[in-house]
Amino acid sequence: MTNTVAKSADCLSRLRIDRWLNGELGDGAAERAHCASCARCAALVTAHRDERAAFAIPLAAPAIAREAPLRSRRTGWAIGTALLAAALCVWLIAPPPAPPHIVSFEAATREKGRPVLNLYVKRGERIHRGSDGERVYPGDSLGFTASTAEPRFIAIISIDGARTVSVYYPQAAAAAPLPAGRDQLLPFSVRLDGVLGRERLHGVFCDRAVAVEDLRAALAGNAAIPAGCTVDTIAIDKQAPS
Amino acid sequence: MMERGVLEQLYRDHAPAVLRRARQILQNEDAARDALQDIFLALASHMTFELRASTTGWFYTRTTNYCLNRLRDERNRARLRLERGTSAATAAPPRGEAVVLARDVLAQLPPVLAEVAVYYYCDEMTHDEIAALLGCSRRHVGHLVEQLRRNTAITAAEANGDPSGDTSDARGCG
Repeated sequence: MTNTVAKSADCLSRLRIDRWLNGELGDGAAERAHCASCARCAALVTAHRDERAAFAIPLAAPAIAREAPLRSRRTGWAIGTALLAAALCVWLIAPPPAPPHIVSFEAATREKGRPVLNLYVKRGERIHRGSDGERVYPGDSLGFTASTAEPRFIAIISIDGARTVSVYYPQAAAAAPLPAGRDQLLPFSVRLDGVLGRERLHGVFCDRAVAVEDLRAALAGNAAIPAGCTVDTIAIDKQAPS
Repeated sequence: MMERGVLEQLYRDHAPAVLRRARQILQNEDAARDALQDIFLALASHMTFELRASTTGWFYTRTTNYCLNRLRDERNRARLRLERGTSAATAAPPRGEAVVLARDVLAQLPPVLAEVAVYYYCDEMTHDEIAALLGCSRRHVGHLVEQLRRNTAITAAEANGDPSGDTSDARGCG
């Protein structure tokens, strides 16, 4: 749709209109007041309402969620026997509000231009973005997003305080394809077990589908990181609940 | 699995906007409908969805990134098939006071500029709104918009002296 009507600085964006119609802007008094004196915005709001009223595409029936193994190390359950009837534990994360201080987009990459791994922590029903050195507790669940300017192949490998190396993602022989994009949610999560101490989560980004075992060996210190791969690491500190 | 009722409520509230925006970005009805279903069906396997004030913003971001990734994937596949070089796509020419963002323009832009292009030109967001979605400063959004203009050579009539950086002319998305 091409909109050629002039708009002023006070005019409503489509996001703001949708947020208003979704009840996210309180009573919408400011929006109503503006629309009362702005034909452009009044027409756009009407168009949004009409679009909602006319929407008639049904949601397809979700496929049965596949069972996923609980990634719980040293709990006495081998992964092969620890399949639960729960769905894949990937959850939605709403974007955080804009920080009060100035944040440069470049600063969001730990090194400009390099792929970035981000951590999210789910504790109970609350989710927050984790940072390097994040304090976590047994029972917390971890989720990850990845950002890359170029298509890459990704693997997530963990090394705990006992130098135990675990491949979190993918459950495949080679690193998984990751298209270029920002904050792409990875389709897996990890529920933390009772083993305490510092753990390092390595996001390995390669320019080809490198064998996961090669990456595992490299991070265990038994081989060099394959050429064409970069690593972004997040450390977590697993402590006993207080 | 997410409760069906919760999923259906999310669908009722957000599906129209998801479809509208997918149509704008992908400029293909079938692809837009696929995007709609994929985005919501991906939610079905979630245990919980914590509704927050920025839920609409989340769907905006998710739809934008999904569609831009799809455009880039399609472009890469087409390029590999045709074994062409990396000649730059021609920016869509301005049409009067409105500008159309071509699929190939979006597909070839760096990811963050493509995302800003969608928010700025298709959704007509303010710099503040874009900054909130990107998690960066408003000032940085201004820089990205300027960079976007240089990259795409899109010209439009803009009002000068608008402190918010918003323009008086709207831009459509095809």
